[in-house]
Amino acid sequence: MAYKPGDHDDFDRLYRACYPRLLRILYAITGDAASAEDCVQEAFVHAFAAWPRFKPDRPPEAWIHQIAVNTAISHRRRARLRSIGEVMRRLGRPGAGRDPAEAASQSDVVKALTSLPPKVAADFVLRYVHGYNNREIAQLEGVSERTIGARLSQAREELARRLGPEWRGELPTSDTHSVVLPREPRGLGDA
Amino acid sequence: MPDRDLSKELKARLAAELTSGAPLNAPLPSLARYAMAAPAARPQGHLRGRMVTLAVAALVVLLAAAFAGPPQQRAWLVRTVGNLAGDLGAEVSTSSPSPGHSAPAASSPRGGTDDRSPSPSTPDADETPGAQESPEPRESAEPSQTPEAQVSPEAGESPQPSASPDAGGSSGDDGDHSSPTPSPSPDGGGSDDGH
Repeated sequence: MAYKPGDHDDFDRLYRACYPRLLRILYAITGDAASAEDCVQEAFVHAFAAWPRFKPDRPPEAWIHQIAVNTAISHRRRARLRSIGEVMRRLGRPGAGRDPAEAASQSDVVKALTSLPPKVAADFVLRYVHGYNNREIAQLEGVSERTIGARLSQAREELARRLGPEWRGELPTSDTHSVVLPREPRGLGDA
Repeated sequence: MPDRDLSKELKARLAAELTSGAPLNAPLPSLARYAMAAPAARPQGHLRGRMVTLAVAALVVLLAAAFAGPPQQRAWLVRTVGNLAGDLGAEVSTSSPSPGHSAPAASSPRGGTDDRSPSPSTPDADETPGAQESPEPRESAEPSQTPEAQVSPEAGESPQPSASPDAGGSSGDDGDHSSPTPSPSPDGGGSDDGH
């Protein structure tokens, strides 16, 4: 269903459609539920201000996705600068470290996702949580499918290094036969 | 580079971790931050627009009154602007509207006699010896004598030339005739001076 730029009801519809997906993506980027919600709300505030000037040459979902990811990147950058400032201030003193409650609430998966670059984490969630394929993600972000494939591979390798080899993934069942078949001559040759 | 996929268990675990970590509240647009900020911003825009519209409308009315209205309104506007400019010390701007305003007024017969009454009276004042008395009767004659203004000099001048050549009883007769009439009071003054 088409969105009309500047229409308040259409923006409400866009909010309802995109909010759950964006919240999970930004949670994977920031690692904090409150920060993720704050960033999503902030992204929608920015988008609402620019909504009358939105040009429908691309889907509004892609537009709001880009705004939200950029907002999360800015938030993460500020948080890192803040943490560096904290470290500098606490030099020579017994540091309190990270909030234990927050650290305990974060699972290993979320910690591993947070360690990824923001766009890599976003693509990983889009692909393996929300079920987008590489082409759809590429259209959403305005990059090539090759870039998306490289990012997903990077994410799987990093998660496999942190969480276990099962995160490296498995080849699709439809391609399994075409991949397994060439191995037979190699085995025969070895024999 | 092969496009690998995660197992269903890992996908389910991933979704569960993200969902439990960031619980999804009902995304009501009315509770969204943009919806809270929008009503505060909209009336300001409306008020600003209304103020701009009112200012433009007032400017258009003023310009219409200045350039397209009747000449009286135009003169009023020019006089007002001239007064304002005069208050600010611009004497040039005040001098320019006054002749423009007085020129059409001078063409009218009544306004001309009222405004220029001293200038035509100067020959009368020259003729009559008492120059100080000349304004007094004109002030008294202004409301009623405007139609008689052309008559009164004739009536006033007729005894004076007759008085100057005839220094005898004719002047006394004229003076007797002129003295009871209230209007030729300058003549009476002239006759008194002549006597």
